[in-house]
Amino acid sequence: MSYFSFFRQFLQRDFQIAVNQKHELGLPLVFFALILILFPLSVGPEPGTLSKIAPAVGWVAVILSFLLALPRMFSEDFENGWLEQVFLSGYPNVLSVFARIVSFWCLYGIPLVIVTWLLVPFFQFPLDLWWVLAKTLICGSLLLASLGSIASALLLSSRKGSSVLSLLVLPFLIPALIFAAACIDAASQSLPYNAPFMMLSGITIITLTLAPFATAQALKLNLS
Amino acid sequence: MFKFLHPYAKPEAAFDLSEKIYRYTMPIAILFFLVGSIWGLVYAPVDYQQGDSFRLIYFHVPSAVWSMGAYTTMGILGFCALVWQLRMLELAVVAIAPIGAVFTALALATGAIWGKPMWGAWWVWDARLTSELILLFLYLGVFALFYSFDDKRTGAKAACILAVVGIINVPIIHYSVEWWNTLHQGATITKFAAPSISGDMLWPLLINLTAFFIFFTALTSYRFSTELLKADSHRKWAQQILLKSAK
Repeated sequence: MSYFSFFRQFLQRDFQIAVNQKHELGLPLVFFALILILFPLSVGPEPGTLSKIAPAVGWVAVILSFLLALPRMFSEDFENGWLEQVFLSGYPNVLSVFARIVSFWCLYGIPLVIVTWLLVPFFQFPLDLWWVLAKTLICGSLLLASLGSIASALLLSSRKGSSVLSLLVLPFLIPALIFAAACIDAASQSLPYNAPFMMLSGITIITLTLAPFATAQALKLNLS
Repeated sequence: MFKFLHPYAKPEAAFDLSEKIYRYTMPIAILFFLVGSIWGLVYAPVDYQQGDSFRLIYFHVPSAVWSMGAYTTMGILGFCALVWQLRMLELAVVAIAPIGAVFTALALATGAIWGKPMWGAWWVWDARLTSELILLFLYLGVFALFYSFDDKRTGAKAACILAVVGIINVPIIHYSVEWWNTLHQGATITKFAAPSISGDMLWPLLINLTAFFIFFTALTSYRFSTELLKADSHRKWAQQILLKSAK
């Protein structure tokens, strides 16, 4: 089996399992919507304020909802022994980790980005700005998935998984947040936002390239 | 170099060495610290603009410098531990993390006390302050990770991986935050050609910088030796040492 068909079958399996457990996919989305509701209630319903904080709320809510899903990235396959079989299969571990990052991004990241459309009616957020926000979030959620893979792999066999998880992920996310905010800020003044967007995608690509090595190492540590 | 380091893979030898380093460096650190602090607090001239409150520089700058120095050390040690599978270095990473966190917290606290009279605020969202705060959370992450495992060896290795990931990320975080906002004054003593600080004020600062570095070395070897004892407490050499000290 070539590396490419291994990769494709890995993704296929992940998607099939996800289809069988649809409720798991929905939970982070519901959580996201709940966070959105809290803001107008606590800040007050003025449209001016709401549309101003909308991108910040969108980003923070996406990060939090993603953190909710992250512990599940490897835990099931670790418990039922599938992960061990993959590591024994002779295919590069980095490839399987990369496949898992991609499938996780497709299953949890992309739906969350689509759900941020709720900001448009709820927060009176302009649609053209939402498009910029969505673009930064597509990059950002891929970055989250690759950084999160390291953290969730490190904590696989530890007792207090999810409480430490945020401490391992959030500090590394700060550059992405800065550049995404710069993008939206520039776009809201109808200025070109290419420069910060390229920085953001650059960080994402670097992380996506390097993270699988750290994740594979961390998984090996937990499997031994 | 490996021929020189090889004997210290033996835990007894490493323990003896770190004990010795601690015993010899601790008095030197205290001496330097006393000289630098008294010189800085009492004899250094008063700043024409900031008055006496500038004297906080003698604690703020050394702790800030070595908070970053400690992180770099930790990252490099973590990398070596993972590549060459050296258990001693894993323990050293675990030993450094809390010390670095305390240096970072000290830098933040003295900075806040200094900022209140000078900038009129305890905290501003400036680039250096923010990246120092993030550094604190990176340290907390390393030892939170270590303590969340039942098996200490696994925990130490996980902490090493995180330290290496952190060391790659620190420059990215630093420059992106810099890009975001800057208010903090520029570096004063890194320009070796013409430091923008008078010599009378500079000497105590340099002495305290050295003092904090030696202090860091001493504390690291102390924590390293105790971590080593704890990890090897079921082994004969550690039990002998524990029995001897119990007497």
